Amino acid sequence: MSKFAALLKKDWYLSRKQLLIPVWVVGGYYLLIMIAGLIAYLKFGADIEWSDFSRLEFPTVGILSYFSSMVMMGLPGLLALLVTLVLTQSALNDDVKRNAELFHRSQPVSVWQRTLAKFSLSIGGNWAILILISAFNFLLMTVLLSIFAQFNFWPALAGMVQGLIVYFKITLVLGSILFLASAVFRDKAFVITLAILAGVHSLFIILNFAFGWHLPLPLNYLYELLKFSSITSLEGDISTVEVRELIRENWGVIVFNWKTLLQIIFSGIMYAAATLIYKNKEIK
Amino acid sequence: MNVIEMRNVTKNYGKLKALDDITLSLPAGRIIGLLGKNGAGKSTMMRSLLGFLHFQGEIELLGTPIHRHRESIHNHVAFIPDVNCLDNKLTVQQTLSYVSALNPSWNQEKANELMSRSDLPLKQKVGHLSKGMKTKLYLLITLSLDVQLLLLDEPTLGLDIVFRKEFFNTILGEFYDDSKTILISTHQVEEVEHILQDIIFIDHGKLVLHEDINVLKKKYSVLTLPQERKKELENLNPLLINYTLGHVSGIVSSEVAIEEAQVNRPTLSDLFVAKVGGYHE
Repeated sequence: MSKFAALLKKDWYLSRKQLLIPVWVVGGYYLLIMIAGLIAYLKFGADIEWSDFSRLEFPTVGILSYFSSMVMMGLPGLLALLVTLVLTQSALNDDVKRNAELFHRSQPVSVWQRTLAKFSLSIGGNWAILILISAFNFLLMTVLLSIFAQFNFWPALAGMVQGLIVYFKITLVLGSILFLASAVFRDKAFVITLAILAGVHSLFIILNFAFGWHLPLPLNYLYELLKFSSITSLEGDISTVEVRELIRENWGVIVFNWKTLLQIIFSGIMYAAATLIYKNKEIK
Repeated sequence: MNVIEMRNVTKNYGKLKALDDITLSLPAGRIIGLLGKNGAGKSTMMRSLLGFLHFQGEIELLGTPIHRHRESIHNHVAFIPDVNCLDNKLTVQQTLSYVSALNPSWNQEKANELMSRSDLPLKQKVGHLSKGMKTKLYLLITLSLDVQLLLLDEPTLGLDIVFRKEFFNTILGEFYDDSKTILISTHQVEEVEHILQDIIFIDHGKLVLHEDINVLKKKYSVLTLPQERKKELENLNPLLINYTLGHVSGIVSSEVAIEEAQVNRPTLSDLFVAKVGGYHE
């Protein structure tokens, strides 16, 4: 086994409980739906009217398939984001808090590899879990909608992938900021980082107002870095929109643009800065 | 070749001088004891050697200059710190797999042999092990590494006397050969005395003494007399005086003698107290 694989495996052992939280929550959610369905069935019978949906025409079915699979990413995406924040804020200080730093640092493996394994698992690990949940959601949706109504596979798949990428990018940017914070602060990195950003933001607003300066506002920059141009197009009459065109446009909005490159570079810089700070800290 | 070279090494914690201008050379193939009171600077010295701490001065470990911590040094150096710093969240098995995968110097045969002698439960989390068991696991890991230098900072802390004896008499003996060097800091000086070849005394961050134990012991004698002859002993300006059941004994230069006095070789702890914590009455 390579050293990196061993590090990943060790980090998986240490954080698998948190990483699997979205799986359990989504599983519980499905269980509740099944119970609710069962109660409804026992009380009202299986008299569900699918006729309205089944009369829909292409491209409406395609657009609905596209957006519904994208929207289905909401709950698992949010959970994965929360877990990413929890894991990244303690990525580089948890060993210190648990008094295990000396043991891990006494192994002949480069700090860069160590931090890369932690970065990969606390951000990429959530991506993997999110992909797993999405694949299950997608399979379920494909089967159910194909049986009971109409379903268009490719737009739905594109919707799911684009939804995933939205969450990947958000977790990458926010996760890498907290990864850096975990190298600087020993505890409560998330709260301290938020307080510092808010503090600097407020201070700059006051200074800009008082002296007519144009100091950059950190939270505005962060918002700009994270926000997407409006995803085309949730408003208007969806039956008039050509689904292939819509998907193509959203590939441009979500993935293929300069901001994506900027987000990747930003995360890379955060990772490198975190590693350098971590590497040069004393181990007492 | 010297495995450890320290030149004018100073380490400050704020106003406290944890290491004060230490210059030291330790040759290969020796078992060296590092003795000092609590807070004397033993752990700081060990951690500085590995670059875990920032310091002033120069350190070379196995010919490699240490300015900051270099992970590659752990291919040749194993370290047991004075605190139990194994990862409590991993099981014994996971810990062993992790260390064996990361260390090219891991000797699986040796690990199996040591494992068969121990009663470590593989599936148990390290956090659920007793302090002694944790120390056993750490020792097992460290002794399974085929390294040139072993740094042991209070290695048997929390172990029962049987395992402590086994460790110092058997296990450490199996690890050691002429090509390897062991630096041990311990409070249980009586238990390691018989295996040590060199001794270092450190106090308030300063190097008090570094010498071959046999040479050191030959330099001094313990003279014991009835208490009424105490004056004769005091006239020899002893390093240390002890009173026991109507007798008085003192550590003096081996070149001097008193008629009818009982003569013994001093123990390491006697010499330590004499040099570092001793007093003249």
